Amino acid sequence: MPSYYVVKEGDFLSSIAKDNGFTNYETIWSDPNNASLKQKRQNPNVLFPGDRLFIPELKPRVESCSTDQQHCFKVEKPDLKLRLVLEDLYEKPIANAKCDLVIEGDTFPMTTDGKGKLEQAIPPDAHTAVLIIHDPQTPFQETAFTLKIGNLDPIDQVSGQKARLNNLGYFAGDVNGDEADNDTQDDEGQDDGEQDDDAFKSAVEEFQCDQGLTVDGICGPKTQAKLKEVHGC
Amino acid sequence: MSDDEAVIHNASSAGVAASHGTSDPPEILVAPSTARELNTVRMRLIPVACWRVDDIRFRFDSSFVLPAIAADMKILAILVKVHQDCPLSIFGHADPVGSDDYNKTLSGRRATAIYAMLIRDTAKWEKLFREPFGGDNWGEDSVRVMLNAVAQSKSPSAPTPQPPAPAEQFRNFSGTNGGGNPTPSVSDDQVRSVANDSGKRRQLFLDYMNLLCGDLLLDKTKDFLARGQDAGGKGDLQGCSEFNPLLILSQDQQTAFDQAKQNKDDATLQQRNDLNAQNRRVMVLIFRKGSRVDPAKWPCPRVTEGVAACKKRFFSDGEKRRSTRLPDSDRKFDESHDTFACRFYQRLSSNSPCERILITFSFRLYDLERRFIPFAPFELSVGGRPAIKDLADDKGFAIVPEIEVPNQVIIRWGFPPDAGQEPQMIFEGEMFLKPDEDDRETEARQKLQNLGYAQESPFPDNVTAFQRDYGQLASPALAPTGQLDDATLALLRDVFASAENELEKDKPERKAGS
Repeated sequence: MPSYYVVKEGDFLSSIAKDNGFTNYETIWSDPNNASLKQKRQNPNVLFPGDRLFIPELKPRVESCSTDQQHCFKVEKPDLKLRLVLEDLYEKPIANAKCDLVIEGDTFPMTTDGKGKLEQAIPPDAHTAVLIIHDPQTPFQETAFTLKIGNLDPIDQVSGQKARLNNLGYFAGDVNGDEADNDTQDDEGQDDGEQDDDAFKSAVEEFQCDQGLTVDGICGPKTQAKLKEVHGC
Repeated sequence: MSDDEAVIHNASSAGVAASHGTSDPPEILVAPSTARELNTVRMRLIPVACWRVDDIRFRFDSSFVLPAIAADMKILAILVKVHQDCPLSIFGHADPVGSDDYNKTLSGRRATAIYAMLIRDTAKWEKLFREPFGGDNWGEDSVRVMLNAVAQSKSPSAPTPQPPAPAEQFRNFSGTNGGGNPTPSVSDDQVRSVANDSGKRRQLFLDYMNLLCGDLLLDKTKDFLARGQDAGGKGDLQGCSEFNPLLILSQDQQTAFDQAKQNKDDATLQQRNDLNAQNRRVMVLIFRKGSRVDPAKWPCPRVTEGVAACKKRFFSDGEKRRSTRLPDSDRKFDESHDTFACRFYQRLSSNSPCERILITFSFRLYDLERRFIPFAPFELSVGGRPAIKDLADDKGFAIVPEIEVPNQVIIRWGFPPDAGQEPQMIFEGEMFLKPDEDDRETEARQKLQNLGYAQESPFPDNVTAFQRDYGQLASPALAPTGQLDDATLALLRDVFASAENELEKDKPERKAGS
């Protein structure tokens, strides 16, 4: 039965597709009913909680084959990867660094390339990973970083802007520490809110300053585009 | 326990040093890729500890450091020891009196004075000495202060060759009257002969640096944030001018001071200087082990450069932040976090996940006869941290950087051992830092324990013992009932406070203007 699915935190299209029995997310993404969402989000792996996604009917495919013969069926499955670029404070890659990437319990020892890049194929139901860098080039040697896969929000959302700024080393405050929390009225909560706003604004300014943009602390379209470009998605 | 009678006091000292909490790295939110997308993850610069040296440790309006800074250097030495291999960077700050440019240079000269001392670079001091700037003229006064301090540390009456903590004899040097002349053990001729001879000066600078820093000797190519790669010290030390005030006086106050200036009312102007003292400071930030910056990319200008690069890093409303005065109340960074103009510095020093400020404690270590033990060896453990091992100073004060309050610590100490012997930690005490005043019984328990009443005895027995020991001081006298009634708690608070006050009296001076 075709239906609409409401995106939750941590969802990305491949994970939703798998949950609904699809091996290829493209079947969902290119459905005409999802055209406006596709246009709006562009990247099927960066959806926003609340987005409505049309799930078309899962049609069994019928192939007619002769008997007494072996048949080989190939399932087309798009590559799903986790790609990271590790850099020092000043955009210099942390190159040729030994790392462990632990995904859903499996440990993948790997080494960054000359540009600090790590790439690992992941199953569509991978939602968390742990990265450990075994390299003295960074002050975070042997520190375990938790990666939440599929939790990056779109760039036009404050939460998506904060997350990218945080990843780029600009402390922008808690990703969920925005308007949504305003219904907690105790004094402390309000203070935190204010400090968080300040952290976000100053992170935006610092980023604008580093990128040669107008420094106004407002993460408008130009700053968003730059942030998306520098972050890589 | 052999030390049932030993008394330990504790008191918090001025917040001059702190270790930031070590927070877990934040979660990294990423998107998986089905095309060419990447997630870039950049490492952050995270301070793990900070140390502040106050204005009072410098001569007024000068980069010349006074002998009393030895106590602060000792604390820095401990911080450096605790945070082994963590690089540091120095930030000098001036107060808002005077122009931005003047203050940039002065704050840079103060940062330079501290930097040079840490790496024993006498040439940098020589430059400060030979090239006076505005009110910052080291002159013969500085030579006299240094000669006296060095002579006193070498005199046979000094208890040991160990660099003494700032003893009272130095107190007269501090304050606004510059060098002063409290102990004229050094003749004017001697002073002049050193002041006019660069070779003698170099030796004096080195002796004085060694006296103030003790064992604390840093390597400019290893121990600083930019590893000394830039000859001008970019990334390793900076002067922040008056851009980051901790206190902005109210308009009322300022108007009064402006009038005083017109009326040449020196007493009131002095008051302004005293109030502004906390803005004049040198901060050292200690960063995560392995942190390193590229001087070419570091935003702060060199200490000798102008303010243009600083202003680039201002908040978009930076000028407003650093200059807005409220009509009738002061603005304090502590309270509102919005008085710094420099975005970069604020984010570095406080707006990081590890901004929790922690406190440095000093303990005084006594023997059974309640005499303090000079240079007592001690070990202190807090929570699960490995024990800190060190020596108390010449007045029996053990100074330790604390991690978190309230907290419970175990301190063990003994007498200084004979040469070649291991120290025997024959005394032991467990105590609470920052007794909790909310809960009567908890407060009483902790205060009794800090006063030396055995922790393992039942609480009513300790109350009884306290009532027996001190009950006569109350009127009417307390009966040994074992009940924590109002009168008993009041007396306990008095006794505890007087024990603290007694400690304060003996303590090295820490506050400006007192």
